[in-house]
Amino acid sequence: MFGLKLLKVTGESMQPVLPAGCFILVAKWLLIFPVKSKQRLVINHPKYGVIVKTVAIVDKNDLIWSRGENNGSLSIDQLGPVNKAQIVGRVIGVFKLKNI
Amino acid sequence: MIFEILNKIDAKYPFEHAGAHCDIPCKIYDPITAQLAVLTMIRMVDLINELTAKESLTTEEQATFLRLVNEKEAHGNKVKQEIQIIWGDYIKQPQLASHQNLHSLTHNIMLAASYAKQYINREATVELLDKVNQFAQIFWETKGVDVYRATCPYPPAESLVYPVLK
Repeated sequence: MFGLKLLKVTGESMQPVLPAGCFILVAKWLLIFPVKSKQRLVINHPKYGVIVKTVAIVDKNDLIWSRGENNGSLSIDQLGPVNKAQIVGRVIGVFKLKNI
Repeated sequence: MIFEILNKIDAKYPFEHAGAHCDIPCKIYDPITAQLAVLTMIRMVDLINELTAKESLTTEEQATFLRLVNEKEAHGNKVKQEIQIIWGDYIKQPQLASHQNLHSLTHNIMLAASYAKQYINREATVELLDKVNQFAQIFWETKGVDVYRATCPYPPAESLVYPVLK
């Protein structure tokens, strides 16, 4: 609805920003704007499925390289680059327990 | 409050998931993979030595020789990778404070693994195993788990450090 989607986060690689079990509001339509580093994106990854990661860098070929938020995450190299067509949307809201 | 409402909705009508993948399941670390990789290297060296003891090799045996060398190389890399993961992801300040030789031991494992990869030398691979066993012992000590040494019940029948998990 309105290009928005609610998703539940599983896994711990985005802690403490997005702890496991929290909900994220994702906007697809925001992708009309350029993707920039530090944005949090939901990516339809060819190997890892639907994942949420932080943009590390957008290279000169407009490919997006992403990372987790702690050292338990897959590395940037392991995740590899994705193109904009593989982006499900940008995270615009996070709903988590207050004490986590 | 929104979280609680969403959680209740999720319990009844589950939302789609977005995975925040870890490179391995978080907090699951075990040096046994590195130890097994060294054992494989030792075994490969033994098998290579059996082959090279022959006067000449058939085409089939030459192919086997190549496969053995490749496996030795691959498992040398695996040793380095598995130790690096534990060292980089699990080892933190408390473990370093209690085991101050960890950095140098890890570095020595990297050097010994490279050397064992470079040569077909059983002594080098056994020396690598000794260092990886030391690393495993420290790892289990940081977890408060006792260890014991036993000879692995399969070739190359070398001594391994195992955790006491009873």
